[in-house]
Amino acid sequence: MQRQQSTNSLATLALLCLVWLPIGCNGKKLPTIVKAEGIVTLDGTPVENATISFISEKTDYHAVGNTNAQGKFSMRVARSEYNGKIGACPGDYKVEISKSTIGGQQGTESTGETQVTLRNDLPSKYASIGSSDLKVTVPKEGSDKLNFELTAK
Amino acid sequence: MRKRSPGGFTLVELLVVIAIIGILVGLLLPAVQAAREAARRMQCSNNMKQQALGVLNYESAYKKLPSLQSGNGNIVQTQQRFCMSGWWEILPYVEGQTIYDQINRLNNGFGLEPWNGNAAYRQRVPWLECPSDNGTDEPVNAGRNRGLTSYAFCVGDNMAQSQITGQGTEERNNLALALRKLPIYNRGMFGRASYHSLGHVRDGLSNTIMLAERQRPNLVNTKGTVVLIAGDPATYSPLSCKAQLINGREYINAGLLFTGDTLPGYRAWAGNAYFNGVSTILPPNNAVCMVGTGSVSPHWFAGIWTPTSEHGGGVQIALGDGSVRFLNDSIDSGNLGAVAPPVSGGQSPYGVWGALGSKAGGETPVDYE
Repeated sequence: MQRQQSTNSLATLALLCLVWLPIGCNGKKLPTIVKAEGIVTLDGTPVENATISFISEKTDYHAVGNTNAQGKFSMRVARSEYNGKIGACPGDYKVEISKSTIGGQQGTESTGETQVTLRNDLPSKYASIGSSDLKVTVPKEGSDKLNFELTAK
Repeated sequence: MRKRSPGGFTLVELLVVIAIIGILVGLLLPAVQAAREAARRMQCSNNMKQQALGVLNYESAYKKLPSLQSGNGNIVQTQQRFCMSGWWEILPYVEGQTIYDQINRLNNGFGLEPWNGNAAYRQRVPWLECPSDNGTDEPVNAGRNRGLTSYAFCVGDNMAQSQITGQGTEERNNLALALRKLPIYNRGMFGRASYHSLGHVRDGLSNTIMLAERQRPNLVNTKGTVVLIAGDPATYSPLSCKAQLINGREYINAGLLFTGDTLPGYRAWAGNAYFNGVSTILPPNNAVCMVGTGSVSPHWFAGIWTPTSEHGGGVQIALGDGSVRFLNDSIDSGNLGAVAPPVSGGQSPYGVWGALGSKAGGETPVDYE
């Protein structure tokens, strides 16, 4: 009978340990993030490997993303507190979109220096908020239709 | 109660003991790993203290700080001026007179060439290598490693470049421009041929970063390598650079990485900001980006030279007063949507992080630890 009790209390102790483990994290309040996805097209064709930045003028919670082969992007908040979780804070943003491409790369041992050709495959006016007229509003409930239809002209 | 046999344990008792030992070992093993990293980090910060003392000893001798880029010769491709690093300048003050002399003996009238494979330029010095960095061979260009380094001189929160560019001309291809031997000033303590006195550090030596870590990448697609971005440094927002690194460790588009020539950390004696400069624009452990368009020499162009390390969660920095601290990745970096300020541009837009980098931004010192 006594042995039965000691095994029981041991089991309780083990259970307590398990319950106690996750209590370590203290939750700091971060603004909630919602889904912010879409597609970038240039004259109707999806653009791969473009970089999109949502720049907020009121807060420091900007968001960034890159497009895949289908031109689709998912924004992430550009702050380390979010650990790269997908989503952006609801609100109004200005938008920058660019796509860098590198020409040939090769090294020359004699002078130790390489030259490469770098170009932006999208119209350069979209590359900076100074010249870009793109804007976006991320709604409170999130959206996967934040599409950008760029034109070469 | 049942009588126990003397000296024996029941199966349950044995299992419980084994379980307890298992739990203890499970707790201990990560602690051992953490202790090993803590020891490496301590050695790493000790190196940095030596370097900071070297810089300040140099200052005692000349009444000026060393510059990031120095050395003789011309900057045009075959006879380069300003190609040596601050590490080379402080060598005599960190017991490195022998290497200093060896390198200087190579100067046969054509200037010093830190990219050269000569044994003198391949010399490794222990106080420039952080033991947490494990790359000893250049991961893309085998055999291209020269002296190794894990540390860099702070250039502040502007887009630092290593040669003068503009109007489609590169100084390295323009002899007349190169012969003017112009300095390049940055918002931080170091630049090209910009030998500041301590009086120029108006924000105070205890509020200004002198050195920071830039890890030596041991793989191509990992943090610490440089991504090439087509853009104009004068209108570029650092956020687009930040977007390139995902999971805190891997570049999203490996096609944009600079693999054509030596990676950072593998040319300790070269003064280019690409190799030995560190910016306070993006907070620690973010992407490193070179920004330019057209035909560019990535080693010499403007960029965001973000500090990175293998310590987890931050990097070590040395302040102008010689003290070494650990700064978290989550340090306040202000408005990363803002364009990097010009050299004469007043307060830093990049919060506490930018303020620590600029030597005369006029920012109020704040508590950042």
